[in-house]
Amino acid sequence: MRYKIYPLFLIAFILVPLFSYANQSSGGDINAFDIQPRSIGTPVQVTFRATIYGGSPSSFLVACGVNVKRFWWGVYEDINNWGDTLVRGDYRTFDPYTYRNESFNLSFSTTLPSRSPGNRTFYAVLYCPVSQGNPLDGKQISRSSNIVINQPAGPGQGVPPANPGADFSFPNPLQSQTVMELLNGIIDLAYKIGLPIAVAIIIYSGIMFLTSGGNPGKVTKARTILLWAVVGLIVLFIGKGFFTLIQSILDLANG
Amino acid sequence: MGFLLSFNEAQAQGSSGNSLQGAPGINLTLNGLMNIINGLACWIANIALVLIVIAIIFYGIMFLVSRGDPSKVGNARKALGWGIVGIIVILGTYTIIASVGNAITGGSYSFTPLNCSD
Repeated sequence: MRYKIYPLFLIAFILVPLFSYANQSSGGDINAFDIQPRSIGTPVQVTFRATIYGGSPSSFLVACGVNVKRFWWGVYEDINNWGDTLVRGDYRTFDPYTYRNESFNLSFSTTLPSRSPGNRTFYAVLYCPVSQGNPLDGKQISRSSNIVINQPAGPGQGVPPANPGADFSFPNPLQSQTVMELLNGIIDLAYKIGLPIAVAIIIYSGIMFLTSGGNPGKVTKARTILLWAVVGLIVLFIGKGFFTLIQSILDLANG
Repeated sequence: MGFLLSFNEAQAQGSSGNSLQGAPGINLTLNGLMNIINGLACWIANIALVLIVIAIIFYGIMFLVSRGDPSKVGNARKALGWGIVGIIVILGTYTIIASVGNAITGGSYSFTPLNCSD
């Protein structure tokens, strides 16, 4: 019996410190983060429990530096094209020189504000403190996984936005930023589609020449095809320069 | 099928709707359209190369069967002459394009010949 248990102790001796060090490398961990119920516009309970590792070796000291005696906790919403918006957050004091791990219960209840309908992403973070400005510019200790809450569309669901239209934006569906770039892109596209067509038409006229067998009507037809293919090619090439021409004329007007 | 140019700026954006996710067939993008046009140009160029050989042989046969008849020889010679013009046009396609481009734009045109390798 004794001999059967002995290796288990050995394994525990090796593995437990390994795992505890691995967990403590970041200075702290988020043990629990949840939002219940998953709804927008009605009161919800945000569960947020975290552990700051002050135990020897104090990884909080390693992560955030000496003489740092507080940390930032926050629950944020990830809003597309806007960035991270604070739901709630604050500094909490923590003395790393006690050399003990400390657990914090950072839970609170709130009402998540209503925004545009769709999936909304929330997450919790722990950060090293910054002297001033946005705490997210500091060093991250830990970040929870995302909680996605779907905000249904339509009236009657939640509170309407306080200032509708103020934060309205939509992504540019085009790759070009200015009208000039757009026109350039369109001309480029026409150029790139037109050139292979010009190749095909010129070769087609060559085939017409080849198979005319000296028949004057067929030769004339082939010659006409070739002529107009080349005219088309000229227009294609001019078209590219035409844009620059218009641009320079407009620039002349500006002085 | 050929791949003429890389259309980085013309990359078609994938549509946001997933309603056609399970539909049969391939997604036709702007790049795909370019490849179709390039492929068409390559295809007609390959056909032309085959036709050159056939036409030259055919005009040779015309000379053969003329048996010295002046009008038939004249016809064959005329046919061969225009055939050679056709060959020059077919093989000189890129020269024509390059010459026109050079003449119009003063050398600032950009054109990569078709690549029909795949």
